[in-house]
Amino acid sequence: MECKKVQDRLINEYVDKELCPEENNEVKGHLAACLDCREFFEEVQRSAVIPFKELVEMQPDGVVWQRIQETIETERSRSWNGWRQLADALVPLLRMPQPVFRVAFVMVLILGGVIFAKWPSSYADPVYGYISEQMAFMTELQAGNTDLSNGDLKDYDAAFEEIGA
Amino acid sequence: MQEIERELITQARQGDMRAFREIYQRASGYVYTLAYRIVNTKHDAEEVTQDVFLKIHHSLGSFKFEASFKTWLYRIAVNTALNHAKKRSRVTTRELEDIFEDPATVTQPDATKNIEVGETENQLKVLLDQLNPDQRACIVLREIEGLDYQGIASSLGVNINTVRSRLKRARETLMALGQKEVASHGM
Repeated sequence: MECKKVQDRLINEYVDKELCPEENNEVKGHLAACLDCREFFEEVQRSAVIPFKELVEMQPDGVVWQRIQETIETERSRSWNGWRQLADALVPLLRMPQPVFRVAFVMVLILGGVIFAKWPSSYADPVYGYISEQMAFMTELQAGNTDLSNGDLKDYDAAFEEIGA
Repeated sequence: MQEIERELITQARQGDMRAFREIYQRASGYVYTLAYRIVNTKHDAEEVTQDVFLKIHHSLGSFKFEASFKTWLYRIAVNTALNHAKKRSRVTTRELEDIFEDPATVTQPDATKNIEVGETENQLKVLLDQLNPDQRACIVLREIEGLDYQGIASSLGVNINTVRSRLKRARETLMALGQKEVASHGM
């Protein structure tokens, strides 16, 4: 391996132990034989690695937690105030005089009735069908048609015949 | 930093302030140190720490436990510190321009800085000052937290090759500074 390539590894992957074992051994072998690269590696260690070994974890001043806590509490009380404002807006509605509620209740009933009447309800269809059927039956009877094929009516025919007999 | 238990996170996301305080106590040292190394002043590091924990408090509800809490925290902390440092460096450039316009202020020594830190600490600050915020973040994650390249890439949200090249440039800059110092002592 050339010195340039070795030095590229020395400054990064070798010093940070990020090389695969084969490449690591290759660099190690080169270092043992090359004075320039050994000096280069010592320089890397002295200037760019060892000074940072002295880095220790520090602790923030107690005031930082106090500020965090205060900010969170302020935000919470602001959000609580938002709910309170909504409640304050709704409470006067509940305190309105009773006649206002009665009028509103009647209006709601009328509105509901209108909507229900206009709504294409599935409940309305069988009722409408039954009434139409009965009207057609009455029309046929009036016209004197006795040959009615409606299954429901056959029982009535038999009943009528029994009464007649 | 040690991993934080799922139960504690769940309690905190349900609004339990004691649980959130426990998370703060366990993670604030890491966040503050990282911020301090990136933004380089105590005041800014405190601001970043505060921002990071408020962001965590707001976003705990959306944390899905798919990634580890530690990685999630690293990412928020690094990005907040980097944004702060970049914003600050733009402001500082403007402030410096203003200062140099007023000759009276040039002679004012920055006494508080010297009181704040010891000699080793000062040396570290000088070294980190040579690097841009992105390079600083890589060095700090590597040297303080001992993250591997993949871990650094995940925390910063960048490609692993970007991490390699940032670390390489950072170390080349530091070596150049070291050689300059050796030359000046030799004179």
